[in-house]
Amino acid sequence: MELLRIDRLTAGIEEKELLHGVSMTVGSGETHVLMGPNGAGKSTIGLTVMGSPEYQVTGGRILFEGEDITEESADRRAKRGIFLSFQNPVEIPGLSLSDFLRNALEQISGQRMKLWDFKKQLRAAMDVLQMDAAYADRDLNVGFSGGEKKKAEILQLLMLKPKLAILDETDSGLDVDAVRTVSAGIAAYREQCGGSLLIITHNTKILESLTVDRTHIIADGRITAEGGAELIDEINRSGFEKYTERAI
Amino acid sequence: METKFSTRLPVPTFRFLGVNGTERVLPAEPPAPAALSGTGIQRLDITADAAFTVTGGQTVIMDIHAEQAYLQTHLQADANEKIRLVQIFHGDCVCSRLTADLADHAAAELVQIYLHGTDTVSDTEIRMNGRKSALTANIGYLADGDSRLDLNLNVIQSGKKSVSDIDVQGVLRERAQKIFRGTIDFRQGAAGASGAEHEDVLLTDPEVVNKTVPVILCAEEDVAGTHGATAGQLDARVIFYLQSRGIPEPEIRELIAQTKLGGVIRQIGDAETERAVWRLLGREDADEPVTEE
Amino acid sequence: MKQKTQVADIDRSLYDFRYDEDAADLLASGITPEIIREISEEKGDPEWMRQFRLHSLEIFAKTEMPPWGPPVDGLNLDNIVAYIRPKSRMNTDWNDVPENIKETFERLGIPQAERESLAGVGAQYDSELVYHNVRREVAESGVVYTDLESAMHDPRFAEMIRTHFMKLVPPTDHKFAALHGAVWSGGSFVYVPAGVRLEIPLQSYFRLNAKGAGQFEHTLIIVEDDAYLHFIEGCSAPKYYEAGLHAGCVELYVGKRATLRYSTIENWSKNMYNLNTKRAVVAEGGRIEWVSGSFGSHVSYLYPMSILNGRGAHAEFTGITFAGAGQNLDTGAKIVHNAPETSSHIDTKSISKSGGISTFRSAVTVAEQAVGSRSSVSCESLMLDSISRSDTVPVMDIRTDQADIGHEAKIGRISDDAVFYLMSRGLDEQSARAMIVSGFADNVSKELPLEYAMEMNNLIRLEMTGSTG
Repeated sequence: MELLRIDRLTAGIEEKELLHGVSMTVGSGETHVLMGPNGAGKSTIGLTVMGSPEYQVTGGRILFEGEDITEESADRRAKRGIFLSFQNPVEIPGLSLSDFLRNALEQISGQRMKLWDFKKQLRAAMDVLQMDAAYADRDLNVGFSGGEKKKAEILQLLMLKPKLAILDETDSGLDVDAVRTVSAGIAAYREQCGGSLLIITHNTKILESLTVDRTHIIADGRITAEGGAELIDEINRSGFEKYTERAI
Repeated sequence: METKFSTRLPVPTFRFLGVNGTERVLPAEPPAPAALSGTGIQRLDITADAAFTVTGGQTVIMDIHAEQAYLQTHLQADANEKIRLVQIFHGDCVCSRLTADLADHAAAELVQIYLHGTDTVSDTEIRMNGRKSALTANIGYLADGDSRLDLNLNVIQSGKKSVSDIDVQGVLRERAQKIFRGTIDFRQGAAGASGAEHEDVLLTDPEVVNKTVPVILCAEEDVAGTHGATAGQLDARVIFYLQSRGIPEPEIRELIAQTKLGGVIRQIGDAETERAVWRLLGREDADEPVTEE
Repeated sequence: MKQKTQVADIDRSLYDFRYDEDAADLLASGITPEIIREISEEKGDPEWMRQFRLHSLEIFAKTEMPPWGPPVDGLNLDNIVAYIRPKSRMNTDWNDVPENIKETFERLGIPQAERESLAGVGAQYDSELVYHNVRREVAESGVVYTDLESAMHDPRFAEMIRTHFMKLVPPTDHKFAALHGAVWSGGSFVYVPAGVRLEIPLQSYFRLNAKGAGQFEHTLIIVEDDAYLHFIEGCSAPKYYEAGLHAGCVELYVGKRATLRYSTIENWSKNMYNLNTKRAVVAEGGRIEWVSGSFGSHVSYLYPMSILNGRGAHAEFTGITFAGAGQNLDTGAKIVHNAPETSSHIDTKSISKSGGISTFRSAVTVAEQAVGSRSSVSCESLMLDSISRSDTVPVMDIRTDQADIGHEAKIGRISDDAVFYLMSRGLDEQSARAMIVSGFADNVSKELPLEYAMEMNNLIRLEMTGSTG
């Protein structure tokens, strides 16, 4: 079943157009990979699907479960079940990770949550990610290292249980152990909620434990190639050069 | 007998700004100060005019929720003594004057929280005469509706190596008006003294009025003083991040407003009072047990 | 050592000399309506200006001294002669300038300072502009640079002056603005037509000479849409035993998308009361850039004000104040954000030494309609000893939630480590400290044309090593 459809999307910041008519679909329970050289527009796709006010959609549509969400605010999209892990999550002094998460969960479910139940769930998710329990009481992302921030993003993924998770460079800048932990988190998400994944990445370490259904190559704001998991191996062998010119 | 209550900026400035001072008329003379004698945490419920003297070693928590009151408090910390004062203001028309004398190696920890008051005027003068005397002040405010909040804090550092650290976190909403005058006054002879003051204000509605006057006076070479102030709206990146986690914008504003004060509330250091303040802020879960029922 | 040589090059007496003025030129001391009428008649004022002067005098008489700021009790207004008519009239040729006046300027180095980079010199000797020279190419670009009195009588500018003169700084602003309105004399008028970008700065040099004389020059600059001007104002005055007063007024009109940079290095003699008012109004997308160095005078009140009236207008203020022995310098800036998306930045340094008092005073106001505005203020003070004083009195008044306002202030001393480091490289302590202070002032020196930056650094070195401190 089709979950996300991006239909001839053009978008950009202020005057500058960054996406020039991008189309792709992600089905329920599928794992997709979005690859491309730096500055190709990978993050723009993630942020636009999430509804960042920084990016203006100038043409095309974004559909989720068949409904047009192009004009919706980010919180509405989150309630529908879209999740984006940020490359640079903001720091919010004074707001603890656990207070924030409980608030978000209650908003998404529309129900009050017992503190005890919440804490239990949170602890379980933190265990998967081998996060020290003390992080729950720390201010959101404040003073977190790069790796801790990525783990905190995956922790939110596990707690919020979206239908579609867009993971933007979740593996970049992590050491081998951290990549393994984050991968375990993603695997747990697949197992627990069976949600779809759109993984934006440069490298393929994080994909090793996943079965990739479809690969999209983006260059200069256009999808230049699509294929199955075999496309990843090809990119690994010969790079992006041959895909930067050809648009499909 | 009516009496006048006034506060003033230690050095006046341009008149058109209207920040040089405030005046209120009190319906009665303030009562004679009562010396507090207890030890441990003392909780005072203040609903009418009152005057207290707090001495070394005491921790006093004042809950000020009168419709109209004049509160006078003096802290007397002698050599090596420490005083902790927590003042929670959530009354209507309240005038407060707080003075403190800190002797050698004396320390004062001050927490002041101002919530929803109609017309609150608070004047604080901390005289740090003692060598190595120390002041930590954590001040938080949430002013909303047609609240008027007028704060005047004057820290006089004449003691050698005295240290002051003042942190102010505030939120202004709806039609609230606030003025915060914060002065660090380094007197001649205060060699080795240092002082830092910072105020952060979050403005959430177009009709708020925020006045900030961060003054440093200095007559001593060997000091280090810093002052910082920021005022503004919520960062658009913060809004998007929290929205992307499912929290709608009005809730984000509420959450961040509470968050602003959260840091100050944590400084109270008394769980019962902290929960009471959260309740005043409308946090429904303030009393929720954290263990399984 | 090199440092010392440079210091020795500056001879304080260069700034402290005077010639006897012709006593017959001095009108009676004290300011009465009769004197104002005399001044007006002498100048051949149009009727509206005569009325304006008399009205201003009434306001002056009624207005109180401000209840804040440094004391001005040493100032005896009755002793200050408001107006001294110089021997000379306007000159366009240097050879026609009277000898003793010329000598004064030559000792100040004005002809030498008039280099390729400088478009012209308008120097005020006592109360009237006596020397004036605008390069031909500047005139040909359509830029007008003349003295205000001539311009007032020129049919091309008369109406423009009537509609702009003291409209930004009305005589009701404060007591000395009223005095200025009554007795103003001399000053500059600059008009830059739309689209003209003058790449070379215009320069003016004011100077007091007559004993007990006040100087009340008026500067009016109009920069039309899309134009650019850099105006440099310099002041120094001979030393007197009697209190002198400077109550000038500067009014700057900056058009849409236009930029005006207004630079001042002020070095009045140490007995002067410098009660100067400077104000700019900026239209949509325009910029005002103030660069200001305050070194001289006994007492100063100086807070250039920028009124940002057009969407996206920008103000920048970069200043330094150095208060030495016997000086009480109260300086700063005022910014009014009156329109959406306006922005401002204030960056000031102040130095207090040998009993000097420096006060940084500012006001940043953001009106309800100024949504999307930004302002940042940074002020840093350096205390060089414990007989001096340094105060910082900033105010922010914000009336919209859609603004981002920041303020930072810092006070401290010269770090012992820095002095030790420089001494370990062979500098003596005094030179090391002088060098550190010069570095501290680089926010201003890097904004000034090279020759002005050098003059300013020389002033700092003189203050640091040449005086008794």
